[in-house]
Amino acid sequence: MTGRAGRLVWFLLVTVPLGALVLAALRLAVPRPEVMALALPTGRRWTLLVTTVVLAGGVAVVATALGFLGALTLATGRAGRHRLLRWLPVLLAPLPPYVHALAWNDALGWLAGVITGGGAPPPASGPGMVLWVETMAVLPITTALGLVGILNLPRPSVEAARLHRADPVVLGRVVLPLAAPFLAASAGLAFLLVATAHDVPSLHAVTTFPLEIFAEFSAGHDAARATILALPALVVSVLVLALVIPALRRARVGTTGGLAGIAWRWPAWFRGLQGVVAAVLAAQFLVPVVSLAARPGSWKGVVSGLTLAGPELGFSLIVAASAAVLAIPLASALARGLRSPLWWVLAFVPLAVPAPLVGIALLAVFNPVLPMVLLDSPLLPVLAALLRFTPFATFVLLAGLRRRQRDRIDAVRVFQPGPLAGWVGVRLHLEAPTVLAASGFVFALSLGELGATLLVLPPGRSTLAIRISNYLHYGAAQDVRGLCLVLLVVTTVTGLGVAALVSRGAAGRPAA
Amino acid sequence: MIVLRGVHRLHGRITALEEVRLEVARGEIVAVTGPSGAGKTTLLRLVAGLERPDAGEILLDGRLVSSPRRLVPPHRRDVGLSMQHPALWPHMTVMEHLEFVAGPRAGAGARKRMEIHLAALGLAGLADRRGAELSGGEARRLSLARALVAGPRILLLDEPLAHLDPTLRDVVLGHVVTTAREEGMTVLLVSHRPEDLREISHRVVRIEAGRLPPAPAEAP
Repeated sequence: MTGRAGRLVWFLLVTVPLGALVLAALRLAVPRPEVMALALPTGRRWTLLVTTVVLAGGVAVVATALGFLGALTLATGRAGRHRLLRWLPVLLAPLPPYVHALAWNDALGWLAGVITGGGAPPPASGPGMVLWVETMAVLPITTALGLVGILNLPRPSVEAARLHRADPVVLGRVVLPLAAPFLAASAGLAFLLVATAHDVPSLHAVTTFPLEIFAEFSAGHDAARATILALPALVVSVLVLALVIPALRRARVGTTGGLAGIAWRWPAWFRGLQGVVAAVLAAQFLVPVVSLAARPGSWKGVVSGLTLAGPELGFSLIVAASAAVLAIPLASALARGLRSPLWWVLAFVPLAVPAPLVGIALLAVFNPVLPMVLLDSPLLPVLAALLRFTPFATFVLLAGLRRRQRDRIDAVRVFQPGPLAGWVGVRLHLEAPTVLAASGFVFALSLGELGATLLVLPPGRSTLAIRISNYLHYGAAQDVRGLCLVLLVVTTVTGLGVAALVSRGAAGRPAA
Repeated sequence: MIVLRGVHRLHGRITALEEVRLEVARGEIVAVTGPSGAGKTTLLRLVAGLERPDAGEILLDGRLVSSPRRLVPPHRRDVGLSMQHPALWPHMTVMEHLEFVAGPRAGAGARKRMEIHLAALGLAGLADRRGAELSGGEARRLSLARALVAGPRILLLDEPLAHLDPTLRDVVLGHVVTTAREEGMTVLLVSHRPEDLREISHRVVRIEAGRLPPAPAEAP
């Protein structure tokens, strides 16, 4: 697929469903303007909007700060010298947030049991728990972005500053401003991930705006009303996206080694803070792993869960693998064609759309026109995963593209005997690690997708994520742990592969 | 005064410097030349404290600053360094670069010095321009001004004439050398073009494959 064809497909994939929603909303609102009152967040909906913004904003700030400090510790500390070890705390980036929720509920329940001397404590709930679980769920992503930001700082500029001022001053005056685009992107992405999904809040008895959209659509199957209702949330998300896109455009990816070099000297209080952050990073990784893998019955649950959920697992793997393959040509075309601001918006706007609205948009377009045979196929869940996660693949490929020096590609173009020989001989070697990393990321994220898939599933089909969500709401503790363990293993294996590829890519030395 | 005693430095499995012995007297200007990859930049980075030697010692004005067990941080060495690439801070203006180096307690005297260096290096009209907005030659001159502005005792220059327009070379080099002489700086500069440096240096030494020729025996 050529770049232009890929961008055309993406253009249609984004604009047709979202355009259909806008059209449906206009069709409803023009003859009945009073329906636009739904778009005004008053009373309960105002509370929901504020709750969503406060939760997402809180998670964005806390996770970005923790992620940057964690990345700084990993990039400058002793453990971080081993390239693969450095990426260990970000392995669980694609693990669905509801698995983190289950793990932390188990861990806190166990802790409360130990403190109170036994008995089954009630499951933790409320906004504080949502804030914590969501922070733990997005922390691998903010840490990864912090690491990318730090590792790509221009090392000579940092060293030039270290010649004249102490390390804490260099951190504040040079490192932070240079890493700012990555930090802004990290905070924005964390906000959007939390503000557009409802799985974790609903598990902890907290209602947020995306759940309201889902409930509105479920009640009447009216895409127009759901779209009008979603407008305030969309406005907030688009505003945040408007801050993220300039940051992504400014982010430069170099090959100069970041903060490597002689050991950094921090004051005692800062070393203490780094210790606390390292402990949080370790907990973020170990709690899901230990809670799911070490709990009695979990492995038995894998067997019984897989026996019960075999078809769901098969269907999920088909959807995730298809999305992982199809996202690459689209993301590759987008990453190469991000020249105008319009394309930046088109490439990343799905990040601002609440997950249920993605499902509603696809239903609004395809339900009336597709033959039954396609509606029965995994097509719509694949499209939902593509719409939601291709922006992530685009981001990974864009970073890879910026990292490779243009001179190398130009040299291939000049000296290659033919395009195929150029690809096989050089470009594949340069591009394969990033392409596989992007594909792996989309695969793992698609495997856990819930918000949009819930609405577009073919009749009689289900996915692993939906099965887990149902179990989480209605019981069957052993089975749910077993299935979460399956997700954890798949995610960790994928994550290890991505980490190995990314660290291999990061090992590339700058061209002389 | 710069003293290197048996300095050894490995980059992975590659020996960048081997048993390097060098003395540069106070106020002396010494040029180090040699082919690419000979270890010239590594030598400067070790003196600046940006790398730690694997063996040997480095003394600056009689103080031990680097050894495998001891490393005085770069900002406590009173060293100015102009790197091979300008290594500017793209978010800071030209003046902010110099203010950062001069430190928060820089007074009127320091400000005067900044203005003198900016004027001498042809940057006076660019004080409010950001590092990212400078041309290659302007960036190189700012890098030199940054190395000079704090009045360091030791000045290290890595390919100081790279990226400079031939018409500006003499002016720039003249200002650097005049400042260094007036302020009694000890200067160690490296270039792969010895003809650029012969006129301004008291001494030229050649480094090859990480080794310097043995110093001539002292007169009895």
